[in-house]
Amino acid sequence: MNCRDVERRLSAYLDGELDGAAASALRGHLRICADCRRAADEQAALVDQLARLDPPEPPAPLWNGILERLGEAEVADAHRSRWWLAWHQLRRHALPSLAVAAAAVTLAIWVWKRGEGAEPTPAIAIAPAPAPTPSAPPSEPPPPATVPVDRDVLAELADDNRALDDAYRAAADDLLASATEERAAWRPALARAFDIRVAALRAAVDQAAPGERRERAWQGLIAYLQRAATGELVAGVTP
Amino acid sequence: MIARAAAAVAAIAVIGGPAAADDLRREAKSVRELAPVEPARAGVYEDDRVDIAPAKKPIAAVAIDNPYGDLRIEGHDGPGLVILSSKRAPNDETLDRLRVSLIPDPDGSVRIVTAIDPEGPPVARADVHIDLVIRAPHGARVDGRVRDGRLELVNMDAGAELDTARGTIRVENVSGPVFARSLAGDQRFAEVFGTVDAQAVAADLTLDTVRGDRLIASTHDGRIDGRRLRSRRVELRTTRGDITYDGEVQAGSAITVASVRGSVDVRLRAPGAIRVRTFAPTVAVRGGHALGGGVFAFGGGPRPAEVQLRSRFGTVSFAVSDAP
Repeated sequence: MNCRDVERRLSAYLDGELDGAAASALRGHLRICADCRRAADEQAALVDQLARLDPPEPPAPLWNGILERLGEAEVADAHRSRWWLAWHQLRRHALPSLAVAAAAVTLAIWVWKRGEGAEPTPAIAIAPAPAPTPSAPPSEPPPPATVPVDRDVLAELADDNRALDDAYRAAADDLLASATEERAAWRPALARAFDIRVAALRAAVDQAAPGERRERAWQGLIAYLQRAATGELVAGVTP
Repeated sequence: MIARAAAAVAAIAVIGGPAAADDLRREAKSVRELAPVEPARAGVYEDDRVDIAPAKKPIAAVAIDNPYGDLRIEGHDGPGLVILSSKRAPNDETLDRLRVSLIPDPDGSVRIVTAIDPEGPPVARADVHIDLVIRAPHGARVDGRVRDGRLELVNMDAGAELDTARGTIRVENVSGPVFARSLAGDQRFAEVFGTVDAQAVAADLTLDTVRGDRLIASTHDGRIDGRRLRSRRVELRTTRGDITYDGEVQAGSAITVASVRGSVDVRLRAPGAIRVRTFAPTVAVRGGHALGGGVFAFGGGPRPAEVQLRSRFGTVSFAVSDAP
């Protein structure tokens, strides 16, 4: 599984719509790819804010054991071929993932014990990466809590993202004005190449999700425009 | 949607929730003592310390995202992590909603995320604060992100990727590649050995004793001051601020120092030849041989270091320094 595969399947994965093998492979890729993990985090965080469910807090030793088994299996799955994945999807009803089954059994025991009030809330709870799999629903999540009317600090952070976006845009516009002055003296071919590159970088900004990815896109555009504005692009540097 | 939300919530492990707070040890050495930030404000505080021992593999990477305050990452000799957190809130109920979450991966990486439990009465962003000090193995790679708080990285050996919006960035005694990004937070690098790539929009950059293969630093509205610099490839750029550069240059190096509206002042120590090309309305070059067209030659020897100095509206100054 590669980054493009993850991009295509991430939403389905977070919705719990992927089968065990595909979900395991995706999780395995997330464990070894920081970019995809970041994208998954952002989507998950957004959903997290909307859903407002109380997190389950299982005992740390329980989750540690699950984590280790799942993690090893997922990393192994991430390195498998697409043929293996396709074959596994065909057989998903016959051979559910051993690791997921183990997780289901362990979780079921914990839920049962918890129902008897056996375990106090631990000081440190360690939970695994998102693992929604149709083949192993260990426990139904509680129904969504009432969504608060005022999102206060979270809303402020969202507003702040827009403010940051505006600040980046202002800097880029300022630099574009300076670069355009330089551009007037360039050869037509160089000017055209510059226009194409700027358009591509702007499109990257527009397409990037708010937050870190968009900041990265803005930074790429600003760095390029700055080289144009200082006059370096005409010094033998092709846009 | 329910499954997605449940998965997202389940992904978060919590250190210090309402029930956990009492169980955690209160350490005499609080985060505020380690990194004094601001005068005490009204409200309630809680300082916690958590020690994380690696399960099997040593901790190879640490990613921390703290939008609610400062973050300091320190290298230490131990194999595990020490997380010191200091929380502040207007009352006990809100304090209990502040979370520091830990998400370990079997590959040896660990993620730490701060959050506020959305269940509860509205609270203003300015009223809640979480400061973190993370002690990590020297060899762990760091990915640190804050919003308006300070971000500090000291005594680490595997480089880092650092992001802030308005918070300052300070990197000291670090080796390995360092990437730093801030919108409006000043950045300071001291004793950094490795590639440095620093970018800001409205902030000053200070570089003191930076050595490595590449040094790339740029700011749109701010100045860059560098001294005791020695990298094989250097690119420093500003739009409005001045740039000063004091460093050594090696044979075959390429140095570009450019500003749109600011002035550029470069002083180099070089054992070999340097060829300087200048592009500015006003050029002040001391010594060397003028070759015409704004090009100057210094010293002799093979593979001259190429220095390009630019300012569209400012002054460009260059001198070869004899000082050690």
